[in-house]
Amino acid sequence: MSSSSRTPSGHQAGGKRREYWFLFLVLGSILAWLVFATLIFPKMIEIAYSGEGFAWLSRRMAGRGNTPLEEYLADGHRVSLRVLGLSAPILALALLNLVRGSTLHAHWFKPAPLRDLAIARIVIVGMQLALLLYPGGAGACVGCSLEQQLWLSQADASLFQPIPALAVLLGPLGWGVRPEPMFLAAVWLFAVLSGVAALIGFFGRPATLGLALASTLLVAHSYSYGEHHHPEGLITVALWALAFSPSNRALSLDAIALRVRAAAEARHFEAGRIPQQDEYARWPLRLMQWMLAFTYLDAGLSKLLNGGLAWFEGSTFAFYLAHDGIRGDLPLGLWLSQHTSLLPPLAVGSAVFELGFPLAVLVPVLAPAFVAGGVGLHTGIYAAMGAPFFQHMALYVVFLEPLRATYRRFVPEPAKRQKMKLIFDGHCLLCIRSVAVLEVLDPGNRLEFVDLEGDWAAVGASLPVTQEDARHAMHVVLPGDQVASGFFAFRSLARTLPLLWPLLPVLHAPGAARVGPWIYAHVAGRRRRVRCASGACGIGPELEEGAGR
Amino acid sequence: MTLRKLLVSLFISAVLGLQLLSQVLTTGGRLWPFMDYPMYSYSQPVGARFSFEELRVLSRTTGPDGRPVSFEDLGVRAFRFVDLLKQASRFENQSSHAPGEDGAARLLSQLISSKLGPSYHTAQIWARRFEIGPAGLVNREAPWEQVREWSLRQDPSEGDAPKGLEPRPAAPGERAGSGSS
Repeated sequence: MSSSSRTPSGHQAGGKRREYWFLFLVLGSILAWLVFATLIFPKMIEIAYSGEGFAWLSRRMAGRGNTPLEEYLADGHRVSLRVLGLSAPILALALLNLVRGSTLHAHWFKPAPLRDLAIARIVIVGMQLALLLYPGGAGACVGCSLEQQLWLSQADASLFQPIPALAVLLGPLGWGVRPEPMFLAAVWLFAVLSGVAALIGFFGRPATLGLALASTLLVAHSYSYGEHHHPEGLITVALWALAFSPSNRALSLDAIALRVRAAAEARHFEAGRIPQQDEYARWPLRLMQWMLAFTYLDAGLSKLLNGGLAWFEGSTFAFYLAHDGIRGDLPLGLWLSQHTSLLPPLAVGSAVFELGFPLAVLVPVLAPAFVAGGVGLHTGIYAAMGAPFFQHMALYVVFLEPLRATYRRFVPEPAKRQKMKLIFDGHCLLCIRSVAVLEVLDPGNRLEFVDLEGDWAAVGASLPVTQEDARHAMHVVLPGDQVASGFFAFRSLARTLPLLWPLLPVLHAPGAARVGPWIYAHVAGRRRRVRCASGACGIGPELEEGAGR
Repeated sequence: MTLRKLLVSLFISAVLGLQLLSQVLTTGGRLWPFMDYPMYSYSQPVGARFSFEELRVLSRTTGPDGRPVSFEDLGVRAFRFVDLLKQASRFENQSSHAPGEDGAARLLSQLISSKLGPSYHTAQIWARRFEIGPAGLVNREAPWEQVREWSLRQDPSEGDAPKGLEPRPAAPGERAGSGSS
């Protein structure tokens, strides 16, 4: 899809590539649809209505004995308009790519920070895990509740109508089979365990895949009793996208293990070897941005096509607010339902938000406004109508990159802070592993690593520590040349690195200043060294196989 | 393009394609997790009405008010239960009395019998009806009214015409429970 060279469909101009094929494809498709919808589709509806052909279309006209043809033609017209409405953002993308000299390939595969994808994994998996463990959360995921699953499994057999997703997932057990309570309990437990593992990135890819699979099965089962809801759909797709992406290559135990293993195998630690970006780190975020955009756009189009301009009158909102307010006993909804003059502006605002949401994807600078609007909209809907769309709000994490860019516009990055120097023994495997872990836990690059055996000649003279002292314990040199060693060095690190903050209560517990140094000395005294060229092998038992390397 | 990129592109195309298909064809939950989002999309004029129904069953021991039955009692999803009550009460869409519509009442009878036991002889549907006026909701404290009653000992469609389509107002002191979820 992408190439820096000139292609038959591309055109170099001003150093930027012009991608015309995508624009022509979209325009051609829209034109073809217009011809079909104007000339052919109405005829098809007429034929299907008369029962003389297009049986699949006839089947969709179940009540055509009592419904005039004009209503079906109007339905067909609405379908046509819906297709055009949904095409608009794709056409806008093609035009914007042309103007910006960008490509469809770059839209999906331009290298992106692995950390953003990892944060998305943590937020989305964390939300799903929370719904599994606390399903009472206002009914945001009915199918996530084990109690609900077991209750449904006892429902009358005549009520069970498996949706295709469930039938496919349970296909190996038989098409349309109804799961047993024990099976559902096992799937729920598997979902929770997979969720915990996916959250911390422990065997992250299979764990995320397991969570996606189990969550899909549970929700699909709960939707197989004649009722479905909307909050669970997008997050389920997001879990699958995360499972197929490198979402565990940062901020995960897998990332730590990979880094430690690489350093241990090389028997050498070199800072800055962790990949920060990847060309496969963008597409899952982009995919969910578009999924959000299309669902909001569909909600907005439905209001225009089903309700027309009358939808914006106060009586429409009053109706829905009163209905849901009475059902959920929600004072805000009931109060609003009796103040119709306030409602048309709210209706206009929500329609503008929904119809305009694709702009959050197409014009990244607008994303923060739409994210803020979405949080306000969903919070308001929950308070007034009780509809819980917490998952959608969690999914806004996929806009992290434009949100950060906007934040940096208003709050410039602070001047480079002086780094904390960490002096470690580069001949000690335990030390190499430890600093490899610390490097992964330092995504903000607050640490500078100094190998007392490898780097001393270059930087040793500038350090307020002697090489001999440094060989006995890990040292850190804080800004201002304050020095901490051993246990106290680790405690300084824990204060500096946010990912180690959970350890602070233990490290500062009463008595920690006495017990900590003793434990540190005990471990450090038994560490093994892999090289003895410096003649410092007297510290701890030597590793014979590594001696002299 | 590498094979990996090709596979990712196919995945993206499939996901977006199914999402757009579900929206264009308004498939409801049939293609879940891909769905259309038409919630709250129909306009409601001044004078629009809505109702909340409640199912009650009577036995020798329940007294004349009967026992309220929830969706949980019958093992039915909440919205499905509401649909069944609306169909059975025929409160909404009164013009579309399609043949076999009493399947809802029949299913309710069957569920009452299987989940609550055979001791109940009569089922009733009560409703609260609300209306939207020019200034919004007008009758916030609408009373419960009986809209239908049928015997659980015989098929609802056989000779037991719905009673109470002319709503019977609640007797003084009669309980006014919450709407069925």
